[in-house]
Amino acid sequence: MTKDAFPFTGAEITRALNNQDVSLFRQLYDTYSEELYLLAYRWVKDSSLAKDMVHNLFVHLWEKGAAITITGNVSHYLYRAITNQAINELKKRKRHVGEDMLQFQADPSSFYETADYILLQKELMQHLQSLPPRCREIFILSRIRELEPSEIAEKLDISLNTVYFQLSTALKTLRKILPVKKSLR
Amino acid sequence: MENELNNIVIDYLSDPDNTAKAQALQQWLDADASHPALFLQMKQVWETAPSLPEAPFDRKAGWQQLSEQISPARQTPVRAIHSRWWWAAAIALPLLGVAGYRYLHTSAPEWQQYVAKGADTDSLHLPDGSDVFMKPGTTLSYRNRQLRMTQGEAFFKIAKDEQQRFSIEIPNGTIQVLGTSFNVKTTNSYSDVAVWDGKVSVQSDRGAAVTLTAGNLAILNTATGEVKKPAGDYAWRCGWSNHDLSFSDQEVGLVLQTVSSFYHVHLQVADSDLLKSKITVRFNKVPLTEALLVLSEMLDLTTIKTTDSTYIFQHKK
Repeated sequence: MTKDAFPFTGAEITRALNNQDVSLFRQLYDTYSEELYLLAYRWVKDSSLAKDMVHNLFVHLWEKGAAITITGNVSHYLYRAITNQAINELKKRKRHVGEDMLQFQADPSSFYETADYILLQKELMQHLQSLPPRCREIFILSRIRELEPSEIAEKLDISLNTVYFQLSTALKTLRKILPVKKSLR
Repeated sequence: MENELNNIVIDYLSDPDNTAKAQALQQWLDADASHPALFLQMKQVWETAPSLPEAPFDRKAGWQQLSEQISPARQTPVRAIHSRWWWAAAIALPLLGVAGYRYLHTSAPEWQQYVAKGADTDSLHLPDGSDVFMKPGTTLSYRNRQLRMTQGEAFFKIAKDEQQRFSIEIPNGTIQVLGTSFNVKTTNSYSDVAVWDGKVSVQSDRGAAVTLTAGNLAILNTATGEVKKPAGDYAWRCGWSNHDLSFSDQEVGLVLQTVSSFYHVHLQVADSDLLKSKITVRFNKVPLTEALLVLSEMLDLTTIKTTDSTYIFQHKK
């Protein structure tokens, strides 16, 4: 899985935000919005809320651009910002703030594991869209709606074998998103 | 052959606790050298998918809405987020194979003694809300927010209490915590403390003290009172009570030793040069067969079972 490294440093983005540079702001959005959506969703488990949170974060970056300073890694900063937002949203609704969220904020080294996972999810989501519609539908019913293969067969009025075939096709296609295994020696 | 793949792998992934399906999978895995890697990839996709949102992110639409609102030097109202009901995300890790879950209801001024029972992890829920998970044979005593541990190994999840620190006395030392998760092991000659998350201070009675954060380890020599804090990430020491062994850049030798001890088997490598190589791997509630599979794939070796409980990793033919 190749990812073009975001070519701007924290300092450059700080300057762009201070100056309200639309072009760089757009690049920032294009690069990070989907990841931030996935991370927000991971924390709050509500896709509408997650979408709103991403929108509000970028509005905030634009509005308060003059006062913002990003030192170091841009994605660190953004991930932490959306996580803070998630914690606030959950507290506002008197929902439980998970240990994993607090752990993420407290421990800089957990960033990489989470970021890798989010990027994998991003690839998965994009490849999911490219599956044939029936295959995608069955995969979603199975993995996201958590239906058993037999329940899917009944719901769609197809054979169990067809369900298995489609799930297996989906997995074999989607596994291409995984990074190539590095040899130990 | 295609049908086998469809049914066997999906069957197992849909119902991994089913022994018949696990056996069928194992046969399929053994049938061809390419199958283990294929299985692990399919499993990874299978397991990454459930946490995805149903609605994909529409970046174009998102930018459209954003650009309508932003313009230089204009105050943009933040979109109101309507309160909506949703179900709480399950956060807590379920515990498997816990022998018993006892409650100590009394907070009397007397020291309450407790000895871990049974052959599996035993656990204690303290009046202040803290949880203690103990390996068989562990002995401890407890009074309010003070604990004494003389023998064994336990993983602590201490409830936060700003008013009263939680402290644990070990032979010739004290551990002080506010609210955090960490592992303590005590033997005749030493004690060690590994932190999963939070902050812990370990003091020897002779005066030496260290502060530990997530991944840190302190070793207290009972005889000399010396406290050491070796470099490295020791979070993996904390995972046994959750069936979650997580190794970050650790030596293969150490990984094999820990996995052996956890699953009650013997694991060896034919090529001992490999023992010093470092790997990053996590076994989170996986059965032994899967752990062996992951290890053999990572080491690029094949697993031979020589006795009921001994496995040797050696080069593929």
